[in-house]
Amino acid sequence: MKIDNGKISASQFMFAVACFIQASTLLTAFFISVTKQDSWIVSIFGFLIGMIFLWIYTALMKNFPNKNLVEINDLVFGPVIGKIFSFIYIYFFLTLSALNLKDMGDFVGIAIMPDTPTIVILVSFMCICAWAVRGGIEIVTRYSLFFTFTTSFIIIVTFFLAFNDIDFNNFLPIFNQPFMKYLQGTHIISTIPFGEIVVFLMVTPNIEIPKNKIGKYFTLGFAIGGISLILIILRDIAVLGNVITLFTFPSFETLRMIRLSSTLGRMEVLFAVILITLMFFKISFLYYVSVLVISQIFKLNSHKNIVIGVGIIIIIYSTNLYYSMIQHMEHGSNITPFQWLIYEFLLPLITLTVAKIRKISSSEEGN
Amino acid sequence: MLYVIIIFLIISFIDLPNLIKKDSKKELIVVCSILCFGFILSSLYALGIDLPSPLVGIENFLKNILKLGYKDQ
Amino acid sequence: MVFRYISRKIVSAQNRNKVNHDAILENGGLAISKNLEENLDFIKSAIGESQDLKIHEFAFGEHNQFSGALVYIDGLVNTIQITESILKPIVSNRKKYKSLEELTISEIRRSILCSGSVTESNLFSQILDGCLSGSTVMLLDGFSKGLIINTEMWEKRDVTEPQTETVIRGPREGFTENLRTNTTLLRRRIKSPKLRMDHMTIGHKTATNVCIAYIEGVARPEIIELLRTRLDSIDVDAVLDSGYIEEYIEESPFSIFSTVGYSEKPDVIASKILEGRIAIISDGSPFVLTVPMLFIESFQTAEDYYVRAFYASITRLMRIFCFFIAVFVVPIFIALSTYHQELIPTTLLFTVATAREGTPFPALFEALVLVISFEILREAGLRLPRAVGQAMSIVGALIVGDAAVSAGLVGAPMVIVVAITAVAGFIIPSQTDSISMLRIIMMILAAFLGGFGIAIGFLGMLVQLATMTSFGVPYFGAVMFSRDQQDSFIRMPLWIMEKRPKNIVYKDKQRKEVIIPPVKSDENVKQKGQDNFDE
Repeated sequence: MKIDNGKISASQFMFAVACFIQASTLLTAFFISVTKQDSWIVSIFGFLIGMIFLWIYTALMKNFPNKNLVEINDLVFGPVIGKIFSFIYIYFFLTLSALNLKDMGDFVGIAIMPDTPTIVILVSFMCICAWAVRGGIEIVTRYSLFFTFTTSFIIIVTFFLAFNDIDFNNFLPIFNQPFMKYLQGTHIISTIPFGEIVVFLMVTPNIEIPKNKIGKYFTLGFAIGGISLILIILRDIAVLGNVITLFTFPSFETLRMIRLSSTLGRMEVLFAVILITLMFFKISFLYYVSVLVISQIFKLNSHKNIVIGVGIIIIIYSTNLYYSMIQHMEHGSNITPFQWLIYEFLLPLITLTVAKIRKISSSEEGN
Repeated sequence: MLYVIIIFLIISFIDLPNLIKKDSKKELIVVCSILCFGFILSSLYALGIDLPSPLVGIENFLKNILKLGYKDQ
Repeated sequence: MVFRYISRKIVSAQNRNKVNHDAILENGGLAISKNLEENLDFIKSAIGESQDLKIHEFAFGEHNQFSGALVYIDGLVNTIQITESILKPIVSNRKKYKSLEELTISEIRRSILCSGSVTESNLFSQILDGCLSGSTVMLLDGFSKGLIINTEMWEKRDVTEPQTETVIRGPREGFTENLRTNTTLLRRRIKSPKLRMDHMTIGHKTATNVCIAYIEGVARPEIIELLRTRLDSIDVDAVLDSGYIEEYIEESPFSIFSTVGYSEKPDVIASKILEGRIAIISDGSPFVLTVPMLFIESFQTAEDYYVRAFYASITRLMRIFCFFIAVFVVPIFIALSTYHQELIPTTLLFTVATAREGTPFPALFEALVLVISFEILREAGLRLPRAVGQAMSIVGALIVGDAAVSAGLVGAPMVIVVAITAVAGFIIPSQTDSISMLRIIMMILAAFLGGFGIAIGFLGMLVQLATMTSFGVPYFGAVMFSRDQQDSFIRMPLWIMEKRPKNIVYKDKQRKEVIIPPVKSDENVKQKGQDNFDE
């Protein structure tokens, strides 16, 4: 049963995935503080593990064409347990939205406007996101292509502009740290930026391509986003080196050091603007997926009515999550990867295996 | 606190008349309950009362009871 | 209590919609009688004792035994045609009729009258409609039908260069207020038999003739249907200008951007019709509406297609850039000087700081004062008589601005910034109203939230553009890389654009068969010419 009847094309989907991952540049601080100058190795491994997650999601999508996550849960586990699984996902999506909103609020509060109370920033931002979510999936992903291209362009341009400050000695020493750190770093990066694409399982019915090709577009978008993220990490390590652990926002500091000439010195404005735009996309998408899950569970007619209510819950939730940024960093590096692993890896894997065992697939249902 | 009440009144005046006209009971219940939940949360925020965070709760559960988690270094 | 009050309001609002319209006349279905005197009395009571209602009674037949009357409104008719082609043939007809039974209305219409475009009617509503539109009505004693003969002629404006859209290179004809002239101008440009002109009448008291023009097979049927339903549902007294129609058929009445385009030049309208759009020509207005309209069309002018592709692309990019300047420069300046002073280059910072020190008001207030006074000057310049207008602009722009800076009311950088936005806003004439509104919204956002406010405002504008549709076609679809990009931010050469825009057209997608670049001069030809010359 489709609640939102919007249709997105294959390329829109692909660039939505890419944009979603590119928006996670704010989250690089979690694993950079752990593995320091070897973060690029960790990110490549994380990318490969993310491909495993991708494979699970694509298998689910292929097995149940035209059904989103809640419907898959209902089909595989039956109505009662399926609803319990979907409730767990409500919690996960709401937490993701609140976390990203909090990240953005912190970034704006620290870097751009230190004097404004955070709640004002959050409320005004969520107003625009609520407007976009009311329009449905088409509006939310409409500009994904534009954002992806602009971000990639800016990444490449800043890469060349930072050439002056790159010192390849910053990559040394390599492979110096205990093995546990590498494991931890890979774990963090595969769950926090890369694993969040589980949200795309909710919008499968709206994509207009033959279902056997969806894996190709998903993988392509993931590759574009992943490569952008790896490039950013490379650039940051090359410019900043070992002191990268001091900063909450490494990319911001990198751009601060770029000087085009004596007058045009402040390139981080560009970063701030593009980051706000990307976070708008990511938060709107997560917001939209939360609203969709809730309206799908309760079988509402349209998702538009609960948009404002869910928005208010997300705003208050984001102020409530952690009592300081230090706790945020500490939990993000140590415990959150395990919790995310449950929602991103364990639950879909269980769903897939149960579906295979019970030999349930959507094409046999005749629905 | 007053602002919270005013804002919620405005929101309900925007959204609810449409729903009442269409007379769909289930939607009305769900929307009203979500709005009430949001109202309670924002009133608590406006009054300054801090609620425990569910995320931190689950993470502490994972860390202490199931002993999953990387050690801080 | 409150509930009852609200429900009472709703009920009274619903009842207000069931107003009795007085139609052009009551008893619209009344048939004419056989008695001539009764008919004339009825017409006189319906139209009244106006001095321009002329009733000319005549007698014809062998012994002048039959009587009849011509009814027309002076000023709307061609009196020469009445005398020559209507009265003369009837009165001087020498055929012998013995009685009324031999002479029928259809015989009069087909064999005796010399004029074309004659209809028979027996309803008073049609007769009065025809009379008020410039036709002559012939009523005969003893016949239950009357003849309506088209004899329109009235004073109309010549076809001149349009005031609002001037071009350097390109045709200079513009539409006039006469429907027939406008349709002629279109027909002269599109000589295809598939050009359809559907006619309808809108407005109870004005009975404005409205014509819908499209090319069958190229325009989408569902858009045509939608347009027709919307036009049919317009239930008003008066339609004086196509702007009235635009407000009734547009989709998002509260949005800042307009979803119905207009133009005053026939070549622009003809090219839009050829791309699959539908034109709405309204009698009494030289502005012709086109439907659906996309956002990118406000940056396209007719001249883009008559100059060469490279320069046209540059001017179009400049126009889009100026749109952003006009909307965002003042808010960026306010945000920079209030919140993010560290972003201003150091040498400029000194001048801005000294200017801000000397003025008592916050930056938003200064900017609002300047922007609003600019709008006042612009509006006053439109309404002033020609002779005083020049002096007013010089006074307003130079002296008042300079004096305000010297008096310390506003700072000099702010005046320059507002002047730049004002001039940049004029580049796109069709969007000046939306630019002004957007600018003020962005200024307020920037004053409260700084750079973040501008980012939010920009995203809000993007979301607004994404949610709008114009008759089912997405308003801002040119952002994705598709074939429509050939004509959006830049203009590709005409020989590349081989297909019509995807969203608007229906079946006939090909403008031409294949992409053929212009032919290079043949090498052999040059050689041959060379040889001949040498010999």
